[in-house]
Amino acid sequence: MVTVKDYQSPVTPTWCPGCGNFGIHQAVKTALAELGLEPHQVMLVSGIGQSSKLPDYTHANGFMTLHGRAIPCATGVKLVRPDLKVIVHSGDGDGYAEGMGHMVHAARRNIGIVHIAHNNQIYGLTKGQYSPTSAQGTRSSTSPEGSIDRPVNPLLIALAAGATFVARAFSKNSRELADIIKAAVQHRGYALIDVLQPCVTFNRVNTYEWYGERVYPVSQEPGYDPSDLNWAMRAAQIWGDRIPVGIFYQTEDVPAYEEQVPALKAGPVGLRPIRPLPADKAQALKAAYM
Amino acid sequence: MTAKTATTASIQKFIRPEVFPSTMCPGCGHGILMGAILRAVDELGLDVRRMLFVSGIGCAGWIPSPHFAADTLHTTHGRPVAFATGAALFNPDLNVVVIGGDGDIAAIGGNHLIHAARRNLDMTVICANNQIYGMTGGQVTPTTDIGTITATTPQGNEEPPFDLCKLVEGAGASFVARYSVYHIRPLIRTLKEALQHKGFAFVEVLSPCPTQWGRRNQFADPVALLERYKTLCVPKDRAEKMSPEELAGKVVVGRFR
Amino acid sequence: MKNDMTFVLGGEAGQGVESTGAGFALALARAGLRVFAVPDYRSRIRGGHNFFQIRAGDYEFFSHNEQVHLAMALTREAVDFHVRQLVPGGAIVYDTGLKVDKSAWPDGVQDFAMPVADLVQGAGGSKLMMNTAMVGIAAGLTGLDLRFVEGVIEDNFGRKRGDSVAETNLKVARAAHDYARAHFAERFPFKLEAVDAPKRLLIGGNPAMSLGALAGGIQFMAGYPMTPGSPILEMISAKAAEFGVVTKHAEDEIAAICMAIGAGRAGARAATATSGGGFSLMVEALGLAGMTEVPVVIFEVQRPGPSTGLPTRTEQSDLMFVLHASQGEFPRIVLAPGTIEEAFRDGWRAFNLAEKYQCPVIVLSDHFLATSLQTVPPETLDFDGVVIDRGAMLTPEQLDAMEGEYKRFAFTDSGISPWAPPGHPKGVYRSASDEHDEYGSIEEDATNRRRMMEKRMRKLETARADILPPKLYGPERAAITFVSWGSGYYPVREAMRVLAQQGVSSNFLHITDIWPFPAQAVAEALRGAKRIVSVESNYTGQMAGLIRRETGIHIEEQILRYDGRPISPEHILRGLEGV
Repeated sequence: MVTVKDYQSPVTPTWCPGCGNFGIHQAVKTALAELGLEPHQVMLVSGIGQSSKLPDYTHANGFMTLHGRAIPCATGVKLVRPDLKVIVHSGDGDGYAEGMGHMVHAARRNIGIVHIAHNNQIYGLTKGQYSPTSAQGTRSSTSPEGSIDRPVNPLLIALAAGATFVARAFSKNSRELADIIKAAVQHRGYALIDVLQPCVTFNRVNTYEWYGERVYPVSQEPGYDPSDLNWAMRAAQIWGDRIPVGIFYQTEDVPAYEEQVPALKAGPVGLRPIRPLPADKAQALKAAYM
Repeated sequence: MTAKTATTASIQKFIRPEVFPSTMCPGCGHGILMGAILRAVDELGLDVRRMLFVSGIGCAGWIPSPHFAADTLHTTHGRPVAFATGAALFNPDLNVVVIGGDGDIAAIGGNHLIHAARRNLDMTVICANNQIYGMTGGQVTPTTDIGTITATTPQGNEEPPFDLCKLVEGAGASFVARYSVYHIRPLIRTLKEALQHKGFAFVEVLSPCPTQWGRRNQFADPVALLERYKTLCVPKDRAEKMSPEELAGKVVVGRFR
Repeated sequence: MKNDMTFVLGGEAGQGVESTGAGFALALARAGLRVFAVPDYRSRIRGGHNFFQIRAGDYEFFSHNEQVHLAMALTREAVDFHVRQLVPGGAIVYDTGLKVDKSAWPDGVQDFAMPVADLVQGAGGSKLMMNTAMVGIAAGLTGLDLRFVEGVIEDNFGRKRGDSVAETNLKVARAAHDYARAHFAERFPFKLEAVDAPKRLLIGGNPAMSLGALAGGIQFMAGYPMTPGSPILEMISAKAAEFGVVTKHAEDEIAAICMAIGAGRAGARAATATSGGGFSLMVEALGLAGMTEVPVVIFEVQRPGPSTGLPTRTEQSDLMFVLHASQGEFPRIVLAPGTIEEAFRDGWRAFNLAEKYQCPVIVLSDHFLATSLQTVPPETLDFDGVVIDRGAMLTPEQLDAMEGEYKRFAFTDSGISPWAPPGHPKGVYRSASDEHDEYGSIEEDATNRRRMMEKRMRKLETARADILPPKLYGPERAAITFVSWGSGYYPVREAMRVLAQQGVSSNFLHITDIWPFPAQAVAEALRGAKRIVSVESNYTGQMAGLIRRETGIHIEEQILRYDGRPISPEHILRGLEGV
């Protein structure tokens, strides 16, 4: 019987008191424990940023990589060890600015990784620059007169890129988030969970209260049908006074990338013992050059 | 129809005579696209001295440079949109046009494309989509169809391709359209609209590559490749009346936003 | 006349110059001759002047040279370009339909204009078969038995007779051969004949390295198209299903190396292949592999920079770059094979070194080595000599017996910490690109930092035991001592052969394992040398600079080339003053 305690790391988180990362951390551990997955069956991959320290605070295989590059690193893990559950933790700066180019390709490939984006609409670790999800007009150290950029809509981009599982959650509602993570881990292919996460230190606008007044289950939207891409794309555009959360889109009809790789038909290549080639194979390789 | 139909002679002034014979393969669609872009410029009566054509590395990067007798900026692979952003921000009066291939614009340059679209930067990005890396020898790109044989997918491509228009629309572009080089009149009309659009305009242009794509996929005949677009492409208004089953394997063309 | 001559086939891109040239090279190899062939093409799909140069002979020589005996020109530009390369008595073949200006032709050159197009048409062939006709003519003029050419045509176009493309090409080759033999062969002084020799392979550095990687049990490769590195990904991809390799054409080079590092972190033998421009994008991730001690192999096939540079040409100008790439200090191993044997060997050895020392290993090749084709005995690809060494990889049994929490980055005397692939309950650990403690947790403590730096860097000292010393060719003492690296091997060895014929003794120190630098071995080999000449393909003399830095030996005499063309033996001989 796996419990949340099995994922307990001896390292104490250094997040600010009240940081939304705590709720996300709890939800991840809860989801994995409830799925009966043991720490050695899971690989947590992150980039750089406050959110990316999560693997350090978790007892599981962890790989904290480069800013923006968690997805390709995780792709490499999944392609040699499809037996592992691979979960990416990125921030909005990490995942949606520098890493967006990788995200859209992961979505279209439908590679079997769960991507949890800790979206606090600000760069926290580098002390408060505006990010790709910051609202237009955000004043920050790199946009002292207010940002001109229109924010990205990560859900819409993921859907447009071909993602097969797209969800949004609020970090405070840890229980709902854990359920979404469980669905994502069991999903076939790439899953994006955009998690709205207050930054109590650098973001004075998108606070717990601000979100608390706005979020509601997307399932309350008329005609809720997470199997309908067009419906999901419309729902993904709702943002403002009311912000829907939950699973927007999910299809299990698209094969995951790793299911289709010829070399993986015989099992994870990373588990295959390596031996010198037999003489007949070596001879056949040479024969092509004679 | 009142628009003056441009003749070949009318766009000669935009082309450097010394670049011929062209480096494009026989049957390459990029020559048609080059003509369409220049016709759009000519029919609009734009002053090319107020224009900047930016390209990266790849076969499509050679459309503006060396062919155009205009200011061209031939940059590194994947980065033309980033270079163009700098030019557009510095000189907002400049009509900035990026011309690149699917590898250049959507693979290595995909991230710049998304961020330029959401910022609604005032530029036109024309993506010549031949679904292959031509110059480096026929490798798979993000727009290559499932099952296509390429140099890096000898067993057939496993990855679903991007719908580039959908992606750019999702990122927030304010002008999105797609045609093929077969649809020459609507293509020129759309390019004209894009060049006049204030904000980010994206035009995807399907363009055949008989050399690297065709030869590997039983389509070595350039004429057959071009005519393939006739059956492959469905205009947007007709597509809206078709069922998903009828639309399977088709490419919808038209102005999407 | 002795069997030694050079052919060149020139034309536009799209005329099949390279494929036909490679086919003719294979025919010559099958005739028992030694071959060294160099493609020369422009970075474009159509047009431009491309050529393929083949040197063939029945004695030991080491590289191409600048003495062309027979030029076959498919365009007027090719005629103008190649006629200048011909030796006296050499001939140029072209279609009588080409309008050719002969006013500037050198003396002693023979004009072999032939009705090539008519011969092709007469045999029922299309314009695309002009190249086949040229090969038939070459056989007819030199006296080479046409069956060697026919054999390659059959292999390339389908073996079964009656296949129309193969059949027509055979007819074209035969007609052209017969015509050339009847009308021109008597006037052509250079002859080739088949010799009875053991079978040889005809292979280049890229395929040799790819086969080495397969022999070394590669399990994952990711890459992005970039000449001349991407053929390695293509060759591995072609064999991926059969050999159980996952290959991934990524969205860019950053993703490619990150995927390889992810696969390495997951316990697989992983690599990427690129050229200098792609490597530039990979640099940040190189440091990630260094910091997190993930084994990864990077095949870097150099081409001339900066930036896009000359995409289809050669240079050795990334040496200093790969030695220093990425911020901070971390151990890396750099190998630079020069021969086919070394390319194959380093193809598998790189994986052993990467896993043994848990660091990035860069195999530095270049366009010249990668794409030139040469004949070698089959045993040159020494599959029997392949050793698989995964270093301090923990077995499931060792992990079962382990007590306490696993210290992935344990401090050790060698600097090497035992590593566990993921999947074992006791082998769970986290690793970070931040500085970390023995368990892998982020740690900024000064003492820990110092000890961790020393632990990592100590691996480099330990790795010296596996570094191969440079190889000395020629007599121990000589009038001239050449120093070179990588593909410099070929022209230097050939220049030595020519010098020996002129009564000048020379020897050659060829450096193959570059980092950690075998300083002691290099210094000892060069001590007492009378006259040291460094030869390399770059502007600044990067290897000479490295030797000076690491040994204090200042090599003043340097023969450099940076016009994008491979160094030829003549280039070296011209550069030697007073010989």
